[in-house]
Amino acid sequence: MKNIHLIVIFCFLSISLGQAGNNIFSRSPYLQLATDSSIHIVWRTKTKMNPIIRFGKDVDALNEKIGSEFILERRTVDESDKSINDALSLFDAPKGTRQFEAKISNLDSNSTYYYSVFDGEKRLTPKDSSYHFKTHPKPGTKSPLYFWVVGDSGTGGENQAKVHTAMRKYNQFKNLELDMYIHVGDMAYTSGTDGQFSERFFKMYEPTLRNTVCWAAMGNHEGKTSKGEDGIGPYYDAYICPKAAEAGGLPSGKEAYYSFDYGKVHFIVLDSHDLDRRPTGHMAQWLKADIEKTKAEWLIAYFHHPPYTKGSHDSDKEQQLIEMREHIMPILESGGVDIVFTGHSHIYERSMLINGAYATPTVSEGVILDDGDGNPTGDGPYIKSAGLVPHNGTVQVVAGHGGTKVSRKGTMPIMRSIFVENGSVLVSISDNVLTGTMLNLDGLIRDTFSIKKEGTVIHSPIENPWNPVTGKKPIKKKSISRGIKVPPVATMIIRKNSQWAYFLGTEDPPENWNMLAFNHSSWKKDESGFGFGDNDDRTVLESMKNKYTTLYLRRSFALPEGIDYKKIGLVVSYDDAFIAYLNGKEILRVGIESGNGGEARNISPHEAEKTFEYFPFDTNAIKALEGGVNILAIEGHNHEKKSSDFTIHPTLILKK
Amino acid sequence: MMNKKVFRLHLFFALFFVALGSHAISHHDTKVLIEELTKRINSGESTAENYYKRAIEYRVLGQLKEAVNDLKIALHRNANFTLARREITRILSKQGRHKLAILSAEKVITNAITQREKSSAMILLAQMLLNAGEPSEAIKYSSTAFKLNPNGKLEWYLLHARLLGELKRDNERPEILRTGYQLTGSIVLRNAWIDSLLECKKYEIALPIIEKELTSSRLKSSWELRRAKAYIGTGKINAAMNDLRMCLKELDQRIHPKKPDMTLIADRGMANALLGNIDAAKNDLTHLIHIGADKWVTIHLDKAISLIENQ
Repeated sequence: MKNIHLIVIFCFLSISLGQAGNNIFSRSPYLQLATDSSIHIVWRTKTKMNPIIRFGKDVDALNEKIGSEFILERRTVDESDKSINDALSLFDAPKGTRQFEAKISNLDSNSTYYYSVFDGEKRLTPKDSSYHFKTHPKPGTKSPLYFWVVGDSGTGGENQAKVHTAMRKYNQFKNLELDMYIHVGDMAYTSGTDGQFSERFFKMYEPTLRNTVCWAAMGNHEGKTSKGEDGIGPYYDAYICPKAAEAGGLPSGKEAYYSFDYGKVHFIVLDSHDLDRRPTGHMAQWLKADIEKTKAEWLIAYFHHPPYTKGSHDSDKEQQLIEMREHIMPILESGGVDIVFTGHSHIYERSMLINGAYATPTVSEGVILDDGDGNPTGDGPYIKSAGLVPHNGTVQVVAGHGGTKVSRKGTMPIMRSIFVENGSVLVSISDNVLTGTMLNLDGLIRDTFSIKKEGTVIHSPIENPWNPVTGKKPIKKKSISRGIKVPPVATMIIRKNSQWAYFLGTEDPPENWNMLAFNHSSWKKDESGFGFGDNDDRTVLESMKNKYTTLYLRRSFALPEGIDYKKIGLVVSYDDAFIAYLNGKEILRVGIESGNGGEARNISPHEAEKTFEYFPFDTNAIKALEGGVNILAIEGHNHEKKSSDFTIHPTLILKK
Repeated sequence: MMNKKVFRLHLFFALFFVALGSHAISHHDTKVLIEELTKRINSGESTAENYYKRAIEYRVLGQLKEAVNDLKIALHRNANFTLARREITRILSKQGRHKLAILSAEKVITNAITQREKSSAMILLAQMLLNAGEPSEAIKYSSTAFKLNPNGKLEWYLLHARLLGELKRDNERPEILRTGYQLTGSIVLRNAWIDSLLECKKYEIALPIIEKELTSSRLKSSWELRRAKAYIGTGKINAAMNDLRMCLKELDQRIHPKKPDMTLIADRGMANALLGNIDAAKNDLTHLIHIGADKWVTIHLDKAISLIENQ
């Protein structure tokens, strides 16, 4: 506890000292929009000034300077003030606020410069080497990159400060320096007002922001006061975003979404909050064009709403999250994206190497390319092909744990590492290896993963991947893909078009529905087969399409005396899959990899084509038989709701 | 850029309730937020703003019926609540209740005060009319919007160009898209402008840009498809076929076999149609319709298939 107090005191002291002597600033100088030859330095004052930036490669010799001709001045406007145009006015900053945006151009690439802000001849920032910036390497050149990822941090509270301090101490200890800072949104709770930005973002991160560009994505809380469509509000006052492709990529024409390059790394930033997320929307169209253009070797995308999460939000249930998964992820993955950072959900979740996980709800079967932990000292890094290769695997990182209260709703099955605690992510890219580290608020490393790119790698999706709930690979249930040709029949124990009791899968069936003792008198009854859409069903389920995927059937039967049990078998016409139970015991599963009922996963499509297939009883099934009355229960599955047809028509035979 | 004073007016209610309520709701779970707002509403704070806020959360969960109910109450309590009016307009349209959406958008126009507000409201109405299948009515409003606010926005240009397309006034599309591109710098408008040039057979303007893009792009299929269209238009059939084959080769690598990206399926369908692979093109068209692709995506492919079939 004593340590916590010390950290907090240290943090506030460092912030206060950073501000000391700089009272003239209502927002201390911070960096924005860097390229390989330019940078912006932004600050605010409460009074008029004669703005000058002096800069140079030697902290003791700031020999170059720019004056007001290269410094944009923006300010708050009184109702009576008609002298200022829209582009120069601030949205809701306090009266008298002046924001200065200095653009320094013609800089050397990949070079460190020191700077100081002056009011005429009066120096406003101290002679301090921490006031510096580094230009980007030339696009396309190899250069190591080290950056910080934070989300959902802007509370202005203790945990936010501790996360920041942990990062700074870690870097100091490791002698590392950030090249950039990316924020995935929710940086100024609760409404992203100008005042909240000043207190909960700029003041909090001041020592970092003075020498590190924060490239931001808009969160829903900023969205309460700033609108992506217009590019107006405190968020857009705070950031200078490259809407005209100033830092690489293609021009988006909007500050709400943009891209930029750092050497051989291409970053894509999207507005998942208040713009159209559909493939026909202008953001998705821009994304497709931008992704097709880049010749980078690494592709990193970030935005606020996570396509995969079970933290404080659920990506299987919330529209924005579903749309980012169903509409945006296919574009990103077909363009070869390597890693996606998001926030919104107040948790740390990091996935295995995945591809094509666009279904709702998210399942892990068939979408995991590598189910290892990705840790270089554990299962080893995720291996991908060199360059950007479509559908070669993506790692998803939900970093919504930057300062606000964390929580968890459940377990997203594609995740490999989940921590319900505050923290942030540090990422380094060196040549062909990307390494991510989750550092918690106490400075402890909680997760490490790597992606390594070399040669050509062809992945096959894993059918039964590692399970984050059990912490191990599931035991694969035996699943048969097809039956065999129906043999000559001696006796039909359950005939075609027999009466069955059935229960529609609009909801889960009652507990023990497949047991002998269960009373199905309240269920509907009708003749088999059941289904729709292919003209082979006696009982047509008009309501099934687009509504539900499962049908539950029950029928009792008695065995003729003196028969050879080994000659019994099911004969079924089915589309797409089914599980059969005898007296409550599963005896057969066809086309379903795992799970039962609503939890059935990885259902393979199969056309009935008006034919029947034979599935002889195995030892397991024979053991389940009772001497008197037996119950055969079947759950028939369609592989998706929007499937055009469905059939389940079971019979039971005794072969000759 | 929108006038900030006008924008402030738009956001007045949002800021007002944000200021009022934000201190009390610190969690971020949508369902819990709904419960919290419900408690507030039931305990006397049944303000228009609280109903609006709850409607937004219902919308996030896809519970549109509940969202509409809350927005109706919000508007009953404050008929000039523009944000709520805009929200209910969009949801009604999404529900396919087009007549009501149009009526609602008309009310947004009535409530608008400044020219900028009116122009923005007219674009909303134009969109609702387009969604209702009334492009000829819609274009009257988008045209008026541009008169009131000549600079417009990226979205306005795309909408207006689409309306021109729906009305078969294809020759007018390049100009509006070029203007939009020049004003906004958006690559989406630039690419739409190139597509409109191809539709208008202005190959000599489009081809040099396409060639440049083919040289500088990593993934080339969309540009090979565009160049193939230009080649077909100028009688260079062999060159076009070569481009189309290259386009399909790249698309095969990019399209996920089970979960394809809609935009790539549209490109593949078009490439197949132009190559004369009609069955494959029809499969792609069927797939696009099946996954709910916008009519604007399918209409061009449908047209191309019909054209090739009738040749």
